[in-house]
Amino acid sequence: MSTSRNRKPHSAENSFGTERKRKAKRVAAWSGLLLGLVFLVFGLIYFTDKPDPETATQGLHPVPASGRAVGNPDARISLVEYSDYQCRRCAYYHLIVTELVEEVSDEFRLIFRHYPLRNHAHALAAAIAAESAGRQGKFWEMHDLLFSHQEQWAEKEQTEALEIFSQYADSLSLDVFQFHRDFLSQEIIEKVNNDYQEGRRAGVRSTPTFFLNGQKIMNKPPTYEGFKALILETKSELN
Amino acid sequence: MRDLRRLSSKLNLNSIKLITAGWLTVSLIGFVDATYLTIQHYRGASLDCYVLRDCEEVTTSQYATIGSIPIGLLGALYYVSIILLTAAYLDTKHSRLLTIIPLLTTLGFLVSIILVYLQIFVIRALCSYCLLSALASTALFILAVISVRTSTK
Repeated sequence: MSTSRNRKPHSAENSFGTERKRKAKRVAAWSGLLLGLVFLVFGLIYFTDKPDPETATQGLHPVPASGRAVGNPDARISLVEYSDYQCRRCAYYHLIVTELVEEVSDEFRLIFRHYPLRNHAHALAAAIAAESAGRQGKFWEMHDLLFSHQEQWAEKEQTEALEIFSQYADSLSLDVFQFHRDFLSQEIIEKVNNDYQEGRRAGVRSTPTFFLNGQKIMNKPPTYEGFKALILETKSELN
Repeated sequence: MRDLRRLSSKLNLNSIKLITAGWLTVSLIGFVDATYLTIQHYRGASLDCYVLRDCEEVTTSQYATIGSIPIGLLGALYYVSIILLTAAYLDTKHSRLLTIIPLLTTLGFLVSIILVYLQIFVIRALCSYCLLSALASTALFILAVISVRTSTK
């Protein structure tokens, strides 16, 4: 009798203990799951935008300042643009950047570099066409034409798109024969490819990507005013 | 007869375990995919797609957002709710959860059909990340159908 009386509270304590353990286990499992999901999201944000370790550890200016440049060569602000002629957002940002170059070109230097995405069938050809026109001193003219008439050639078959590029060359009064020769030159292909590779090393993963004084712009302002404010802000920080 | 019943309930239990494992795995894949799309959307970046190369056409189309909310974000919320509901089932064994999840996956499947339709017939471009999500929600739905059939047996 006395033993059974002694056993009862003991067993209740025991079950209380296991209940507590169970609860702790549940709390641990749920917190683990939620934490795991949060880490996953932050991991995705971090890893999808990480520059290559090679450049990150060098601690150098991550973007080489070579490329097609326009604006004030002595400006302390450089805006490097990695872009793709066939990408719609790039065409949209081209309008903003053009306005910036027209309105505040004293404040900065724009450096354009090619980043033809592989999923755009004519992006590489368009970059080569711009560089070929550049051989005859009309890079920026061809650059503007390619962006502003993107819808004319972006969806066309390759031969048709190339034909359109030739027409642009003709409309810019280029020597079309020479344009075609340059179009096939290995040197230009290498230059475009070099831009792409360096962009990739600097952390470009999508287009357009901008670097303001070597810093990748994470949230691109979608308007001219926003971009201008960003440049002026950088200028005031430098002063 | 009793042995048979016991065996069948054991089999059911095993298939429910497999189904929940499937739900967790597939919705995790869907969650990563949709979250990636959402992140890229808010970054304003176009995607570097290697297979089915029209990601940008799709993700910048007017169908990529509802108001100002990107579809990717809704997808991520959908997958995370499947993950949490499945975890809740594993934790509590509430049989009601086994009816809620199939309902939700049916909704997800129907939305996927609409999105794939839009890609093929309206935007006329296919985006691999979007199709991966459609595949994930189809798999979730198939698992849900199996779960309903198993639990009504």
